[in-house]
Amino acid sequence: MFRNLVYYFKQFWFNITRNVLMSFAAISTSFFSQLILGSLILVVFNINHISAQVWSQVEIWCFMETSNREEVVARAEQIQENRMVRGPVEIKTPKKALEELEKDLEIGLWDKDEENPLPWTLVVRVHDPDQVQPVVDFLINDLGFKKDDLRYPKDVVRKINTASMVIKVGGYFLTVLMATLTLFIIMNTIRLTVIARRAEIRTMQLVGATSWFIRWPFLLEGIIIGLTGSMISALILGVMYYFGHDMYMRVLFFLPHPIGTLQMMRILFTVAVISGFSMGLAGSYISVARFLDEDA
Amino acid sequence: MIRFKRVHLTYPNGVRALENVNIEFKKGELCFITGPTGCGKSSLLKLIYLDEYPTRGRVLLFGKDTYDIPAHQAPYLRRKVGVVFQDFKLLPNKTVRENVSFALEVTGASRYEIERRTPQVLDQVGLLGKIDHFPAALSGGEIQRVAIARAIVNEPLILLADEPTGNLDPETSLGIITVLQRIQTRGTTVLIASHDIPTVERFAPRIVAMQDGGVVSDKAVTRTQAAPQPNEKG
Ligand SMILES: Nc1ncnc2c1ncn2[C@@H]1O[C@H](COP(=O)(O)OP(=O)(O)O)[C@@H](O)[C@H]1O
Ligand SMILES: [Mg+2]
Repeated sequence: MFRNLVYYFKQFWFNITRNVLMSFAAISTSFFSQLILGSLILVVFNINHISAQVWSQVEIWCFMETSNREEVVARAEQIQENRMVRGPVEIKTPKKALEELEKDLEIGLWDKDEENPLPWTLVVRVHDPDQVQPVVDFLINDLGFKKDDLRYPKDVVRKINTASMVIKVGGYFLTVLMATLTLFIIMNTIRLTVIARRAEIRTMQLVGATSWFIRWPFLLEGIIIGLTGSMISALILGVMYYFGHDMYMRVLFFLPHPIGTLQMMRILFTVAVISGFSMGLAGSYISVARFLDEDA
Repeated sequence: MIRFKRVHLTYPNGVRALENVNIEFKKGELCFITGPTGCGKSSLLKLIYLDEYPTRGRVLLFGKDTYDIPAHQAPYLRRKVGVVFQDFKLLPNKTVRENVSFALEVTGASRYEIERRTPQVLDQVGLLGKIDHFPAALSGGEIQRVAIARAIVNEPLILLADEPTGNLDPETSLGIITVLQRIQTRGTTVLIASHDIPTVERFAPRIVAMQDGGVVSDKAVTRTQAAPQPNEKG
């Protein structure tokens, strides 16, 4: 009896230390790759968020030739019918336009007695930056505005567009790369576990275990490794984001706001659960399938 | 129950383990397969427990060509074929009890069933007293009995034993053969591969002798007299 206990303890200790070391290595690698994946998601989502805000501030100014109030209002209503136009079209009277201009430049521009040289102006906003050009085309072709009477930030639009495209595409590319890396790490870990338990699996097969019976514990192990790594990384990123966001809002509050902490956490954890689970499952499935096929 | 029709088995490395084997085993039969080491006894058994498939010819198991058994059904068939492996394949980090119940667990048997059947088969092979021992703490004959217990725990229709008396002294061998005989009397087909002819000869109702991958003689021994029976030619 005593001999058995000693033997039992030795085996137990052997298994535990081997598995703990291997699992720890797997979880930490999965954690690091998920950390990079999470950071990328954090950056990409914020770029989308911030650029959407910048976009939402893009305005098309249309200078009117007429100074007849009814005509101007009718024009505004015509423009509003276009589905790409966001919200009501703002009508600026020449007086208001002048006031704003003076406020911006901080000087008096015009004698109050003289006639205001500024025209009536319509301010058009769109839902999406891609809609600026189509709306401009619509104004020129369908409503007969002159090109020179429209003001909108052409170059800025194009530059921001290019920059965010580069970051998005780069981000997606890196994300795919990190996801692949995670998958391979989990595949390799499970492969090692499978090899370590080779004899046992072989015996299980020979005494009539189904493939699914053999597969399940490994799939579970893969999923646990994947999920643990991704959850820890999501947690750490979430906490870091909380402080980062807080500081940004205190120091750079006048710039476009990043995504709120709570919403970011939701995104990070959703991505963590999905990617950790699916990569753990896929990685372990592939490794076990390879082994089972080899033997069939 | 088991039927070999012009079976050839060539391993990937080119070794021809079996050549044109024609043989049949009936339900409830006890049969010894003898012949020198390397003559193909283990290979013949492997074809029955679906570890190998014939290179040429057909192996019929319960009337089904083993080639026609889909991979997902093979495990269920293997449960009907208990095997005592030449190298036992016991798991060293599991106790006698765990090694036996393992074979029940993989079939998804209930806790109750496992706890009922495990001591029952261990009693059957006379090893109930060592149920919580590890294989390392057992003698050769005892290990052999654990392997037999595990092979019969799923109540197979066929029991294959590969060299069950190898490396055992005559007295222990006798004990093992007696256990296997008892299993056969319950209606199980028992095939025993052994190179050790003198030990087995006096127990055998039927002896199949092999040489160089072929069957050279197939003798049925009745209770009263030994009468040679011609080997079936396909
Ligand atoms: N897995 C294998 N791969 C290659 N050759 C094998 C394998 N198993 C057995 N052999 C060869 O097949 C022949 C028959 O082996 P085996 O069936 O084990 O004979 P026995 O059990 O009668 O000793 C031998 O020459 C052996 O070396
Ligand atoms: Mg052999």
